[in-house]
Amino acid sequence: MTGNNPIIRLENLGMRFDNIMVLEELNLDIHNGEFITLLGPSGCGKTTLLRLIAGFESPTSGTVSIDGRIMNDVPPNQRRVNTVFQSYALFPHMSVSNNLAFGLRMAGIAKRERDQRVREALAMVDLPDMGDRMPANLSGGQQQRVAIARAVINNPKALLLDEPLSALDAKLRKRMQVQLKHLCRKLGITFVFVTHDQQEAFAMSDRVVVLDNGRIEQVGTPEEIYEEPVNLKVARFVGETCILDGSAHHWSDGILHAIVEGQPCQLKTRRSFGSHESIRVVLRPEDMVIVPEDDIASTHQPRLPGTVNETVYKGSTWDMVVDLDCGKQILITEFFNEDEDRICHKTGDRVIVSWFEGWEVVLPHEHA
Amino acid sequence: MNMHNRFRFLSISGAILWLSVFGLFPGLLMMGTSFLARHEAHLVDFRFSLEGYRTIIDPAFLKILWNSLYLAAGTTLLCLLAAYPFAYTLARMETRWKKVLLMLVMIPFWTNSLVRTYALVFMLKTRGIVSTILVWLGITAKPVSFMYTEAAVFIGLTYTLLPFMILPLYSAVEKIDGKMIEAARDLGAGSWRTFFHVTLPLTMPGIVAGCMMVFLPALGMFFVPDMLGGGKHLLVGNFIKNQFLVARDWPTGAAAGVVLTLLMLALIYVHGVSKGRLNKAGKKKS
Amino acid sequence: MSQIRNTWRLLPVYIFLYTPMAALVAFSFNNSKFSTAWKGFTWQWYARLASNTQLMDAAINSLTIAILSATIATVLGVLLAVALFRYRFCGRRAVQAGLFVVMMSPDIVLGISLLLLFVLMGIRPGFLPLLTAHTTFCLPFVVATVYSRLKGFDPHVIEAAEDLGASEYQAFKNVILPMIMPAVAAGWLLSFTLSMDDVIISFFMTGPDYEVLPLQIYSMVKMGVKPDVNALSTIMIGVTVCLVFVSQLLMRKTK
Repeated sequence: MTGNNPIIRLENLGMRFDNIMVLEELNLDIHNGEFITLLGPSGCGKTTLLRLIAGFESPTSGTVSIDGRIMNDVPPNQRRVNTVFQSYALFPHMSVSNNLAFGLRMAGIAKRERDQRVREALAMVDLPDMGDRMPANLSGGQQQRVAIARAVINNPKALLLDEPLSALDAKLRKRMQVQLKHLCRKLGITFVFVTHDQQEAFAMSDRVVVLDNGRIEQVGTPEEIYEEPVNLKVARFVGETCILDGSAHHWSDGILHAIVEGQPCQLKTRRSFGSHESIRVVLRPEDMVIVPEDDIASTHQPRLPGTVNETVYKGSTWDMVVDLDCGKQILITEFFNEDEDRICHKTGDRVIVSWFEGWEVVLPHEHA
Repeated sequence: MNMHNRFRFLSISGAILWLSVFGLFPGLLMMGTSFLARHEAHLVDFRFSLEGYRTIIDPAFLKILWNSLYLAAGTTLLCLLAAYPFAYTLARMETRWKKVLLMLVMIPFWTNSLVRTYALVFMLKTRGIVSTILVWLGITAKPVSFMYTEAAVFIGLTYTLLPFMILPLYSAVEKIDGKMIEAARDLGAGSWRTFFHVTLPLTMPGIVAGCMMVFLPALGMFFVPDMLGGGKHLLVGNFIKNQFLVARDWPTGAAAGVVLTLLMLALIYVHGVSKGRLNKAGKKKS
Repeated sequence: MSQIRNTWRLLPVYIFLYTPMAALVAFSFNNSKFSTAWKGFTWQWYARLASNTQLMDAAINSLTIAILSATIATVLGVLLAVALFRYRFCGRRAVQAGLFVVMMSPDIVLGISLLLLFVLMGIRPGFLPLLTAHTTFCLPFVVATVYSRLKGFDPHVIEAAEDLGASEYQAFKNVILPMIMPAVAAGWLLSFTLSMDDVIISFFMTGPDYEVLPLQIYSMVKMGVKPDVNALSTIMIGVTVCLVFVSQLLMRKTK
């Protein structure tokens, strides 16, 4: 990442279609060489944002700058960013080589250099002998790689990827995730990736931008987003959550003394809360533990009694749905520990539920 | 204007210019003319007048209009009755001959309608093919001519316009998901109920489109009554043609043209409604 | 089995459609001027047709008009269809509505309104009015043919071209045009056929010094059967069969 000059800067960006707000007051700096993912549910505006950067739409308000230059009125063919489309959008009437050469031809690059660069690009995406094929005769994964090669061959300042993996099967998608991340490092080009799949976002990105309803909810590394979501919306969107209600008592030095679901406990949080303020404690299934009933010495607190509703064997984990006595239903994921004898709980068993100390996220109560 | 926009500008404005000058402006001219007075020497007299409209509400014109509507509507009905089972069967067929069978409908569709009307003369005239067959079968003793009768005009219009009914119906039936008909049968509907509750509503836009493509031209095809009707059984088309070329009463001809245009717009509206209803229903489901 | 039965059900319509045309074709080879009875095979009507300069001139005029108007309508129609597909400009819906109205307008209405236009402009019936009128009524059909082809492919392909540095014109020339080529050809053929078919609109556009084929035939056959017209009609049917065949091949390529 180079200094303070972002490669793409979005300032107060707003977008309306037929008076419907799609993006609102959006500010974002994208740095050179980073892999950034725009994550959000469908209809959140992430694809529109990408199209604004590419130049297919012009913003209703605010500015898009690429490499320090305001680009609002610059058409897509004069912007040095390239897009990989969800549908790949390969030219069906051109061979793979001609697809790859298209951008270079438009830029007026001589045939000899063109051929050379097409060969290199084909080798880069592991399709060295496919140059003469027509796109229709390629598999989905191959078309995908041609689409990526066709974009990066132009040495763009940024590569924009609009859910490019969504048409691939799960196995191929996992492999492409790794390859894309690798490609980003190797080429040193900024990747702006759009997806609605949080696992995909976390697997590849340096930073993740969570979008909802045309607004940025949170920007951060995958760890920050997952472990310290700024609000319930983000928390809910990026994974299974278990949300407990409580009220604050007093806060000092990062420790909040509070009552959660009727049990006194100490919570770790950097936020400060006023006395008697309503709070919510956000936990992930893997944060939760079942405390043996006789283990009085356990540091786990608070201790929430409940009844096992359902157990699901998942291979590497045991998932358990527990109905707490306070009326909430929660999901607990326990990883197998080979060293440990474990009691297998059955439906109907009474259990005590708690969580690993310090793994909780405390948020103010919001009416969402 | 930079290079970027010039192509866009030229392609849009060129086509729009052509469409307005040669497509829409003449329509306005026709409307304007219908409100002018007739002039013996200069064709039209540039003063406002309702004479043209007064002439066409004259019983003589109304009789022609009524007769023309009768012929056109009758033709539309005949075409619909013949085309629907045909188009349905063809669209639902699964053979490799389907393309050829469809092409056999395209050929008359694209053949000059005057030539096809002319071909009918061989069938209908005295000692024509129909007459010969009837004599051979012993149904009539002497050769008969069907020329210059109302039936001949009906046959002529139906013959020329039948392909225009078949093709929209064919594409409407082909669009229906076969599973939908199977679903109706599966839910216990008999063939007739399936037809009335599923097939018919789904093909309604095709029916309306086909009826438009038959009914509107049928009002105007003046050469069919000229050749087969012997100048009797006139259409609005004959009336307009005569006003322009024989009677030289342009305002009246233009007024009749305006009436036809209004009729067309009404049918376009009905078509839009039937299509819109189906689209809306489809969207709600998905 | 049921397939065969279905084919039988189609038969009456085919008989209705083809018997008159077959009769016309057959009688163009009949060695008798008036009778419908078969008097032996002859080429003489075709020979006489070739020496009928009036009909031959009209045929050449018709072909000229058909080729020119199909070409102009195709150029305009392709540009307009692509513009309607690619751009959101003000008046886009009005243009679509206008095209639909022109397409559905009864020929007689189009004919008299264009006649009024040319009278107002002081242009005498003949070549220019015929050419413009034919181009105008072909235009909506070209737009419809090309537009439906455009709708069939991924709009992102055009965006991809622009994204890769193609200007709007380059994207049109290098990507859109090659992809819609079969539809462009089909649109041209359609226009050519429509132009050759037209009777009613041409009726108001032709003058004594520029006759077209259908109207020449019309004035000849109003009063009955003419053997050289039989020969000419047979040729026209033959040409139509070829055109339909070619356009079907193009359509198959389109899919």
